[in-house]
This record gives sequence, C-alpha cells and structure tokens, in this order.
Amino acid sequence: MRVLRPFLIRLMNLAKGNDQARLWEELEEHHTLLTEEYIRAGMDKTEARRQATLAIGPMQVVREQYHAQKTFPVLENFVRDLRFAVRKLIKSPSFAIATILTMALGISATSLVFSVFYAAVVAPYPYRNANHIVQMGFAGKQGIRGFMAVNGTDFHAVRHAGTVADAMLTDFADPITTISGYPEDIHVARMSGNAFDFLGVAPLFGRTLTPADQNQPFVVLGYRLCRSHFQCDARILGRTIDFDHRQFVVVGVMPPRFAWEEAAAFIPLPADNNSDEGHPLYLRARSGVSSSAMASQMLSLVRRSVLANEGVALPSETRLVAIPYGQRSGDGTQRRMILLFALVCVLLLIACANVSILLLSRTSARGHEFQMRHALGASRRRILGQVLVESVLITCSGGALGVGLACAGVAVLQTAIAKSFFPAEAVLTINVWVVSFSTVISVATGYSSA
Amino acid sequence: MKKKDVLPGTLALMVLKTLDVLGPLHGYGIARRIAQISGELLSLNQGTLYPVLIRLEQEGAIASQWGPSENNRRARFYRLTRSGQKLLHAETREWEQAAAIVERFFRVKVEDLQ
Repeated sequence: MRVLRPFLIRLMNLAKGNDQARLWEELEEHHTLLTEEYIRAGMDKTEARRQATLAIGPMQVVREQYHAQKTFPVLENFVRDLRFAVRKLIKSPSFAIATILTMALGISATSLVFSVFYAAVVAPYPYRNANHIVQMGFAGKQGIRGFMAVNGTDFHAVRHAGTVADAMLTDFADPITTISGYPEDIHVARMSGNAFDFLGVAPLFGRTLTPADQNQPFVVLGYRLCRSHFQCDARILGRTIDFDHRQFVVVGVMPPRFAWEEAAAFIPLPADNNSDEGHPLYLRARSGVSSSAMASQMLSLVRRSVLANEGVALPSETRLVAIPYGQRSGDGTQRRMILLFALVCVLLLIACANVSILLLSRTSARGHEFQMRHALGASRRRILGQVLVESVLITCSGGALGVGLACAGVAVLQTAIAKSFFPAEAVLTINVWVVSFSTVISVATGYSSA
Repeated sequence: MKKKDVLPGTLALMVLKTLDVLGPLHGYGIARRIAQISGELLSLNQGTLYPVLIRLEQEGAIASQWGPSENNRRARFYRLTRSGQKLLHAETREWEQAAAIVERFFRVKVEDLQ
C-alpha cells in the first residue's frame, strides 16, 4: 500500500499537469516568517530578507525536487529528451540520413533473407511434425533407387509396427476433368483414410476425408483449385466435380498452405485389401525412436512381404534409409540458404558497427556541451539518459525503415522468385520474429553507443 | 563544531518525530524545531523540507490543510496520521537496532575476540 498510493497519486498528477501554486504560497509564507524572525533578532529589513532567502536555499533545486515527487520524472524526462533529440537530428540532416540509412539497409537485408530462410528451410510445411515425416528409400550405390510402397495388408502391419507412430499412403493420378467446361488434365492425390489425420491440417471449409469415406465419391479441394475455378466459399460444398467421368462431391476445401505433393484435389484411396498394388508410404517414427531403427524394422517387414508374395528373397545387401519429406530435392538449397543468412548477419554486424562509430564520434565532439549542462545542475544520469535517447532514436528509426523496406522486398520477391525455389507449401511473408529481432538489434546498437 | 549535512533519508524521520512530539505545525515551524532540536548542528536548506513533506503526504504518513498562521495569514499545517505513527515507530526501532549493532563494534576490545 505504501508503494501503490504514491504511484496512483503520481499518475493523477501527470494528468493534472504542473501545478506549483501551493508550493509557491507555502514558500512565500515561510520566507515572510523567517524574515520576521531575523528582524526580531536585530537585522535590518533588507538583510533579514536576504538571510531568509539564503536559509531557504536554491529555489530551482526545491522546485525540481518538489516536482519530482509529484509525477514520474523518468517519463517527463524521456519526452523532453526525445523532442530535443529530434530537433538535433533535423539540424544535422546528412548525419541523420547516413546513420538511419545504414541501419535500415542492414536490417532490411537481414529481415528479408531471414524471411526467405524461414520459409524455405525452417518451417516450409504446415503439417504436424513436418520435419519427422519420412519416406523409406532403397539405398543403392548411386543413391536412392526407389521408395518403399506397400499394399493394403502390409500397410496395416506398418501402422502397427513398434517403431512407427503413424503412417499414410498416397498415390497420384491425372484424370481428366471438365471442371472448366472443357476437358483438361488435373493432378489428383489419392489419400489413405487416415491421411488427413496424419498430416494434421484442419480444412478451411467443410471437412477432410476420414476412413469412413473409403470408396466413396468424395473430394476435398486444394485452395488454389478452389480459387481459380470457383467462388471459393462455403457454398462450394456439395457441388460435384468429375474425374474420368466419375462424379465426386466436394466435402471440404484445404487452406492455402496445404499443397501436398502439389495436388489440386484429394480423393480417397480405394481400400482393397486383396489387391497387391503398392502405394507410396509416408511414416512418422514414434518419439524416442531413431529413423534408422524404424528403417531396419521396415526392411524386415519388406523382406517378409516380398518372400510371402513373390516367393523370392530380397538381396541381403538391400538397405532402407529414411528420407525426410522435404529433402528429396533441393538439398543444396538448404545449405546455400544457411550460408546466405550467415553472410547477411555479418553485414548487419558491420552496419551496426558503422553506426556505432558515427554516433560515438558525434558524441565525443560534444564534450563541452555536457560540461556546461553539468555545471548548470544536470546530474550525470540525466545527461546520459539524453544521449541514450538520441542514439536509440536514430537506430530505431533506421530499424523501422529497414523493416518497411523488407516488407516491400518480400512483396517483390513473392512475384519474382521462381515458384520452384520453394516447396509449394512455403509462404513467404514477414515474420513476427523478424520484426522483434530487428527491434532488439536496433535498441542494442543504440544502447551500446550511448 | 562544524555543521553537518543532513543524512539522506533521515529528514523524513525528523519531520515525523517533530510532528509526533509537537502536534500539527506548518513548514516554517517544522524547520525551526528541527534546527532547535539538532542544537544548530545541522545545516539545512529549509526549502528542501517541502519535497519531503509532499512525499510523506503522498505516502499517507502525514496529512495537511490550510490554516491561519501566527500573523493571521494562510499557511499549510501538517499533522501525523495513524499510518505515519506506525511508520515512525517502525523506523525508530530500525535505527535503534542499527545503532546498537554499531555500538557493540565500537566497544569491542582485543581481549574479547580471543
């Protein structure tokens, strides 16, 4: 309570403004009484008044200390320092431009590259645990020679294997559709019943496919298809689309980032446990299980299946390797992105160092100004505070400009970069992380130069 | 004896004690009594009393109101509140404890520590 009450009072005073009438009146009365006391003690009137003034002490100090009790000096000082800093900057435009531009360029480059980095490398996919989705590839001498595919029975075995958390099957078809009014090819993905659950992305409208939909003529549309051919809203549910002359009913639409294997639409994989036809398999290992452990378990499963179905044994040197979903192509891209990001961070460091040097040189030339202020009564903390505000103002405006430039740059990149550079699911936008990172760098630079 | 400056933080305590002993006073009265009690050993810029007074008032330790001064002019009178009294007692105890500890150290002789 002892702390709360003054705090609230100060808040109120902040709103009420600077009112020192009461202080004046009290000091006047104090002065009069003191003068009368000195007169009674034998001084003449002028001397008594003078002694009274001396006894009370320097007025400015009293006023400032009094005022400091009434509001939040920190806040008021900050505002005052800010206005002073802005005025000073306006008076030296070339310096201001140089520093702000340097910071802006450094920060915009870093933000831009980081956005690309984030979109391409860190989090390109919206799927649940996307980094753990793998395919099993047969490793030969010249690299991967095909991926593991299973039929219905083996899929069941895979899903219940000890090392596997879950698995799904997809394969692809390119049926003909008359969705645009004339026949054209369309790339469609056929998903096992649990596939949407495995991927863990909620639909934009409607629902996704479930195990109950197997062999049913239902389709879930991808976002791009929905936008390009229809008025994409909830009214599309229930429409029919034809694939190879078969009618499918739209039951859902996926959000923009869901573009599994760049398929335009998704239909159920026909579940036919008697068929030997194999479909590409995607799996996720149980937590704590390494992908190589899962690979060896899958290998024994494959061996058993091949032996059972075809009566032939797999060569003993056959090996399975887990290939993460993102890495079947563009592996070199990741490393190049990391390198680029590191380089741009160095660029930012250099920019910050440059700005710091500029700020320091400017400050060191102002030594006599500080001495004068100190002589007039400013405490060291106040002078330091003012310098700090100046530095932070410069660096933060540079940072803000940099973020603005980066946003513009991202818009440009979205149109300019070849679509194949990113997986279809990646979205290239400015990141909250980027903005906060930029802010921190700006403030840190300003602070260290102060 | 040379005049000493007031230790920071003790001025508030002196104000509280003065008001406790002498009842409601205005700013000038408090300043005079403090000078008197300290035996003119403290050099005090009397104006610096007022920031302390406003701070104590904001904390709720004292309350003030306008009243007639000795010459029938207007002066602001300060009085101790109940929470001010509690504060005074707490601070007094702390000072006495601190002084007692320091005194023990001053009285220590070599023989005591062997």
